[in-house]
Parts: sequence; C-alpha cells; structure tokens
Amino acid sequence: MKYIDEYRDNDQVQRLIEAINNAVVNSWSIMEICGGQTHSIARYGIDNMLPDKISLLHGPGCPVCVTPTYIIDSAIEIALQPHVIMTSFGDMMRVPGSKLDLLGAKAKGADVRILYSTLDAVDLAEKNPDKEVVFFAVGFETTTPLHLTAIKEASRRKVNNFSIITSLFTVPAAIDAILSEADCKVDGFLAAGHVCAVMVYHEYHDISR
Amino acid sequence: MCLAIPGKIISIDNSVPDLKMAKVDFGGMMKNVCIQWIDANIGDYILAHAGMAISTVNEEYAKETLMDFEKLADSDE
Repeated sequence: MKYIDEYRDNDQVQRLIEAINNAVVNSWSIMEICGGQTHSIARYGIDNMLPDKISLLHGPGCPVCVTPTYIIDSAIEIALQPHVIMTSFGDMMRVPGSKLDLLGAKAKGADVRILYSTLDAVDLAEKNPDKEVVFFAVGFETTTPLHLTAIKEASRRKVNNFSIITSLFTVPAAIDAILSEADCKVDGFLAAGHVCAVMVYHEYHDISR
Repeated sequence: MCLAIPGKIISIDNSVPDLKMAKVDFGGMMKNVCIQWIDANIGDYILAHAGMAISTVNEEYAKETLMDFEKLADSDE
C-alpha cells in the first residue's frame, strides 16, 4: 500500500462526485473545522467539484484564527522583556495583536524564535539558564498533550526557567458555540481529522443528535 | 503547525522515563519526534504533528476507508 496513490483514483473520484450529485437534493452549508481541511479543499479544487447546492464554510479549527487578541498582546508584552526568549510555532509570528505581531516585537529588539515543538523550548531553556524561555502554546486537543509533555519534561530535568502562555481550545466546545448562535446556517460539519485522531469521535455523537 | 506529516520510525530512544522519542525519516529528512502517546515500533509509519506522533498510519484502517469510499461511490441513494 502506498497510502497516497490509492486516494487519487480518478475513476473512483468521478463515481463519488456522481453519487454526491445524485444524493444532494436540497442546499447544504457544510463547515470544515480544520485548517488542514481548508488547505486540501483549496489545493485540490474540491469546492469546484462539488455540486452548486453544497456551500463550504471555513470554520474555527485554526489556532491562528481563534487566539484572542488580548493573549497575543500579553505574549508580545512578555517578549519585550529583556530577559525573555519568546518562542512559538511559525504560524503565530504574523498574527496581529492590537498594535504589533511577534515579528514586529522582534524588530523592536525582542528575542523571538520559531520552534517546531514545545519540547525544543525545554532544550533552549536548558542551554540558556540566564534567560526565561517562554513558549506561546496555542492549539486544540492535538497540541495540548505536547505542551503538557514539555512541562513534565522541564520538571523532570529541573529546568526552572521554562514557562508557557496558553491559548488552548477544544473543538466540540467551538462547534457548540457556533450551533448556539441564533442565525447559525450550518447544516453539517466536517469533523477535524487530527483532533479525532487524538480524541476519537465519541464526543460528536451528542452534537449530531 | 496545522499539517501532520507522515514519516517512518528509524530508531526509538527509551532512555528518558515517560518520554519515548523516535528518530523519524520524513522522505530523507530526519527529525526527533515524541512517540510517548501512541503504540509504535521501528519501521512503522506515524503521523507527526508539531513534533509529536498523533497516530500510526495503519494499513488496515486505510483499506477500510478505501472500501468505504467504494461503497459510497456505488451508492444509488
């Protein structure tokens, strides 16, 4: 099994589109939750292949989109302290606070660094004992275990100059919030794949009912 | 951060308690990935998300998904 070729069978895709066309009688608004889904839909032109009666709406599953401005402002304020190394995922660097983004703080002299993983921040703290290494921990059910693993590892190694600032969310709560809006026009959700890889799908039964 | 990337486990480091790490090959690029929260062995493919494996890439599930696609494609409903 090659895992990619099997999913790109042109004949099967055409038959699936035809089956969807036959099944869709009424108009449907479907919200995708995950930024990765939005990326795939745009990259492979999936929105153009679907019947006109299906509208795809972009949902709240990208940490970059749902991190509140006041938390970004706090991260920037901390980053501008002279003894701090502020770290986060690359995606967070250009997300605007009320006045600046993290790259703007870097331009003002802050030590801001992009890391691939929260665990890398623990290594960085260990190598820089005279600095406070702060990780701006954003995300959903997918990144939360990683942030907690890093805290546990820092504690095990007795690294006392590592801390995190959090902006973490759960996806079912975000879906509930959307559905509770009086003018909600969403008929269905494309559940977040990576979050389901971590949490499985049992939490979504109640929502679908 | 949003995108998970599949890679193959080359070696596993169990030396740190409760922090199982693996050297993972992403098409020629090697990275250390935390595999503490999944059950995986050398040679397995995993999905890495922000430095942590969130799932194994499992042939059985992949085949089930493809069979589900097949059922949907053949559906007249």
